[in-house]
Amino acid sequence: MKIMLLPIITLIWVTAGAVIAWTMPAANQLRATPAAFYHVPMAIAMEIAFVLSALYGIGWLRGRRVESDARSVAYAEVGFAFGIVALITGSVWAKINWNSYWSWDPQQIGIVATLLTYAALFSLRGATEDDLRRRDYWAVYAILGVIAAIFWTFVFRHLTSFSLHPSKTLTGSDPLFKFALRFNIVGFTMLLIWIANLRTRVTMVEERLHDRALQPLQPLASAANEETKEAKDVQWVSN
Amino acid sequence: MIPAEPALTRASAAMPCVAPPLMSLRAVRAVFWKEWQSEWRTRASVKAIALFAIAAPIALSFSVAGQRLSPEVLAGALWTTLLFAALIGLSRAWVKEEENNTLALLRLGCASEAVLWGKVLWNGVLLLATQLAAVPIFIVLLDARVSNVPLFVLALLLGDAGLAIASGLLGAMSSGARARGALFCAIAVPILLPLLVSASWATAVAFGARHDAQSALQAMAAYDVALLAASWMLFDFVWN
Repeated sequence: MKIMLLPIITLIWVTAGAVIAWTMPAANQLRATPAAFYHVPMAIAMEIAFVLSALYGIGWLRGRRVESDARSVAYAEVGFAFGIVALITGSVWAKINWNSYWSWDPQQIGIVATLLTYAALFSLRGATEDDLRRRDYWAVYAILGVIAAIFWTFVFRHLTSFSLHPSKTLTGSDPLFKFALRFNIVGFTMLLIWIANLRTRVTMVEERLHDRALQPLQPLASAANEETKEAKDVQWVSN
Repeated sequence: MIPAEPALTRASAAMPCVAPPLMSLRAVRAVFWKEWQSEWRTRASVKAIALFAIAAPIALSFSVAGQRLSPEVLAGALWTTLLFAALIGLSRAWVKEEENNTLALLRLGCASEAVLWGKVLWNGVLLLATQLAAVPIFIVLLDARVSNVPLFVLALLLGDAGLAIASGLLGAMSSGARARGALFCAIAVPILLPLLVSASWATAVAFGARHDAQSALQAMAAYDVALLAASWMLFDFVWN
């Protein structure tokens, strides 16, 4: 029952958020569109996913538990998907407001650069053969990626003086608008956690199937455990 | 009589990074010197970086010949050229070790920090040496006017520092993977883009654009320090 609680709350919450989004009036000099209430929360959830991915990466480097690595990968994957949704809904909103899908706004450049970092992360993982090394490199690069993401999110828009994106949308706009945005941020963050949890479980099952799980998490029976240990010892010797 | 003592000292002088487990300046110098000597044999990295950095403005000048380029465009072109020139040459320091199977010896002989900072230092010197030739050629060919020389030099130095530092950690990662050279570009570009953007911004001011360069320089310095700290903390996980 405890496991089912998060999906149920999340689904109700996100549905309620979608209903609010469709009924919202215009605010903060922006034209009203339901896309807005997906764009902002998705972008913020993507940033949260990146930070969580790096934190679980640190977890992997400290404890070398396969689950930390699986969670790190899961958050990066879901964050990447959320980022693409944020990019598309953002473009739709930009077309409505600024009459162009793409105008090289600092925020637009920032999200593309962040997605590029994610893509590099995946290509690095695909290119590394050694199992342990692959996970180590992943964690190290995820941490480096957060430094770049911090630059794009907080520094870059102050560096360039122009930006079409209005500032203080989350703190300074109409109370109802503000509430709807915050409500959806919480909803999509829960959605992020739920999907990432599911993804982690799938990865862990795959790990077991491929017998790749490392010792602390080895879920096999003790006899089988001994057997694999022996097999590994033999492999070491033959290497 | 066989002089046992002097022979021992000579051996440890030849490989000064053998003894101390902690990072010492001597060990960093030894790694740097090793890079210098092995590069001097072929000069492959110097040639690659310099040739690319010189060929790029020539290729550009075909399409923009006779036109007056704005400072922003010039700065962007300069940094794009420098970044890709650096990407071509900087991964060599690591790929070379992997190809020659010398990584194990380096692991045995030196503390990880000494390897990192020795290579970073070497990459920094390599960048500076090639830019000494490439940047004046760029300025002459594309008819750029540097109105603020100290700012221009400072932006170059901060940019090079970031490139060199990032190439240490990222080069080590890409050398352990398949398709090393291509992968290095793929993983280095997203990490170096913030640096490239700030550097172009500051360099545009040096070329005569009218906006504030201070925030760009601060961002570059901060990013360099962040990369330095991250490399220092994370290199052990990549190296061992």
